[in-house]
Amino acid sequence: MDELLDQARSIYEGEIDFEGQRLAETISTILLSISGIVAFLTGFITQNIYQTLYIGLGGTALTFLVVVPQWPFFNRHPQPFLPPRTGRGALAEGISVEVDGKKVS
Amino acid sequence: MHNALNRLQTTFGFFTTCAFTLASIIALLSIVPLPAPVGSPSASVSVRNVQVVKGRPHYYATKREEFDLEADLSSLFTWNTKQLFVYVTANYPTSKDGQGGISEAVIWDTIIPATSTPYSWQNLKQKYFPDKKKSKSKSRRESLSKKSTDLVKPGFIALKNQKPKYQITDPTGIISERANATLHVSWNVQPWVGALIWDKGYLGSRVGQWDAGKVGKSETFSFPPLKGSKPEVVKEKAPQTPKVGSASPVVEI
Repeated sequence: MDELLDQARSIYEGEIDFEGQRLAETISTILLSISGIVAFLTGFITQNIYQTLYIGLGGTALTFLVVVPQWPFFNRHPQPFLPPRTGRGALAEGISVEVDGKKVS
Repeated sequence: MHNALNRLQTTFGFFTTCAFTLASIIALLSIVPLPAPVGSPSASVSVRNVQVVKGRPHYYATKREEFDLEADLSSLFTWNTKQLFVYVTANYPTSKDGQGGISEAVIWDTIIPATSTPYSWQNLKQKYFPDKKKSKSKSRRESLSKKSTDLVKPGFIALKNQKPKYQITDPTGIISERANATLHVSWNVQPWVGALIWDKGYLGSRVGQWDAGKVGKSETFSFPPLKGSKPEVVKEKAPQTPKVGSASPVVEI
């Protein structure tokens, strides 16, 4: 049950690794700027402001679609964390906790 | 950006920045007019048949008149024009010696929306989500109104014997027999983004300077005397109440 909740939480939060975050920021900046420029030029050339509006909004929707969900290409460089310490390692013998005369952990 | 919510917030923030920059660029381009306007607005207005009548019990004298208006304001419709507000005012000097300045009173106005392009919201909605046949009268009315806006090129006005929308009066209450009055046509461009542009202001002279000689001012006319009053009334000597202390025992009739 816990693993299921953990998976659900990970999907909901949409965490990505650091390289992915850099990629996401670059993609969003470039896509929004390009859609703004294209929208302005299209509207100016056709002298129709509705073109500007629709292209601008469409480009923004596309950016949201590409950047916000947790796509797999954002997770290609996971952070290499050390494995968790289970207490059986080299330092385990040096630490011993006693409670009421009994040895714990 | 580590979180989906965080990415949403950041992207939306940058989107508002981009949208605001785009809007300011469009607004600036409308003020430096670029593309430069083809032609300049022209108008002519003439008066006929001015009447001054007594209005409501407060003795405001209202004025009725008819005027002809011909105007070509199509050069004011750029890609950034949402609608054009045109109004006709009657201007007259406030006092005989010109001390008070000019009074302006609006007698007629209208809103001319920009042509509905094939991409405007109404037309797109009609194309992709056409109204079902539930109200035939409504669709007929809609098609009639759409036809009227598509046929007429925006900005051309030709009115004859137009009755004013508003009756005007003067703060002093007397508008009859005022001289040196003229009718002026003015416009106001309401853009999609940017500043309002009045024809009399600084921006108006950049965007739409009136054509020489067709400024939209009518010839001078004077308000006629009050309808129904004779110009010179000979007052008969009516029996008056006698002054205090001078009453005589015999009253003359």
